Amino acid sequence: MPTWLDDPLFLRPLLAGLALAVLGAPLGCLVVWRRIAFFGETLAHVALPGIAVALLSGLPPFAGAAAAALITAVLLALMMRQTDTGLDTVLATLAHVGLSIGLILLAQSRSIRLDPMSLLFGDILALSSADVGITVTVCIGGGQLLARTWRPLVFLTLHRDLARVSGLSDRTYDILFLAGLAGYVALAMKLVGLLLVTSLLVIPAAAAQPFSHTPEGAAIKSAMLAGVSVIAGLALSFTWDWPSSPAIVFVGGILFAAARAATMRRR
Amino acid sequence: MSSPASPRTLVSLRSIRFERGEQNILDNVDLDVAEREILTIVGPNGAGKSTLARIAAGLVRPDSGTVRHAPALKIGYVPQDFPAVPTLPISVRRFLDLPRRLSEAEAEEALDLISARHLSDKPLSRLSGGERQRVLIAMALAARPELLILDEPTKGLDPVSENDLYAQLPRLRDRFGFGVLMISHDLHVVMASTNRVLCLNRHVCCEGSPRDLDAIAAFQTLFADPTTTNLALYHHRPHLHHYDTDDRDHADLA
Repeated sequence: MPTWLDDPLFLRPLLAGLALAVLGAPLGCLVVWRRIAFFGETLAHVALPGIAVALLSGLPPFAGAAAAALITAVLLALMMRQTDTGLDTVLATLAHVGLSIGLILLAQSRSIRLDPMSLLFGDILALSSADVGITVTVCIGGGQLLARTWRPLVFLTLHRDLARVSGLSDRTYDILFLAGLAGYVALAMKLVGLLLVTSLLVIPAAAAQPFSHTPEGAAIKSAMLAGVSVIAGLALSFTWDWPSSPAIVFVGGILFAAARAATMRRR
Repeated sequence: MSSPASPRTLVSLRSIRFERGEQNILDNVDLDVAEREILTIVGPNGAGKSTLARIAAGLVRPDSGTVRHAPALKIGYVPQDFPAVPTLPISVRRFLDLPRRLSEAEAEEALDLISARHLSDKPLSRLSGGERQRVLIAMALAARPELLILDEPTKGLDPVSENDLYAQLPRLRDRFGFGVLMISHDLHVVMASTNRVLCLNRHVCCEGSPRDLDAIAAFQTLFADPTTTNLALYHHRPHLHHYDTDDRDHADLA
């Protein structure tokens, strides 16, 4: 048995990673179905200036990341209705300008002794047991909220007009969903880093779709694939000293390719 | 059968104006649908038919004018298109559950009404255009609507199913007592099952019962020929109520 199996440095990211995998699965399915992967990307990027501002003013970085992502999410949800502005362009602009401002702010301040790399690609060694506790608690709460809004969200994803005629407020659910996405990004930042956060959402969800017959089935299978990515990725990381977050994403990529190959053979 | 002196008005649109950019899509449109009435809107492409249906459904707010629904009006809406979400795995049966969870009996009944029970277990993304249209109609009917808004409900249906649907509509109306606001471009097919026809080309050109449009043959040929479609609706027909809402249009055609 490898010695790292009962090492808290392994168990902490494992616990947090599994919680994030389970919550990220249904969120990720909605992201894939709605084709808004770039949305998550943008929310992650704009979190960086939020973190920088939080650090400069002595607040916890998570609060800064969550606030910046939340504000952006709400603004984008309100803007989504006027889609003729070229949303992908707006998102790309926001993402990269946000990332740049964040990096400039971090470089300016000498009081911050923080490696930007750890924000961009995650730093599991910095994960405290308090972090793990917060992550697991928020994931449970978020999961309950998502379960309660799941059916309307699926309906709005399939046909916005039909859902609205049936009495659903698309704006309310858009804000809720994107706010949830923003919270997730802020939460997952420490484990996987801002640049790789969407991969945790999108890759398992995309791999699970062809094998599912119901929206819930897709979410459950996606959670299982995400869980496997986290476990195998962390194991690879501890065995061969790979950077952990890229290792998790790498395993996800292999699962995705395998799923694709399997569906191609089935046809 | 009891018929109240004045049937309840389900939706009432007044002086509706809708613009997109510089373009005037709807100009000063009035429209009423009473309960148990089947109103069909006809008009050429780009006449603003779908926009008007969406305004009546409360999906789009007009730039000016008023939209009044009967209190707590239940609307069933069948959109013209259903952009497929091919990655989202869901069966027809589960799809019908999305607005409100249906009992097995309710779902079967809704699918039976448009002879689509065999579709129940099929994945939504694998349906043909006509099958999808049937499922949308089943969903609308399952909501027990008081007002049914159908935006080109026969799009993608073969001619036989199309005739079926139009033949069934008055029967469904009699059974459930809803009013219907329907959009169509195949005027000749729709005639038999409609109480009132409204010709729209950005404004209401004419309005009347299909019997008033007694020159159906002429109408048909005019509708069949796209080059004259726009003109057809402006010809004065003595039997029709003609709304001279906008002199500009007449000038255009002179």
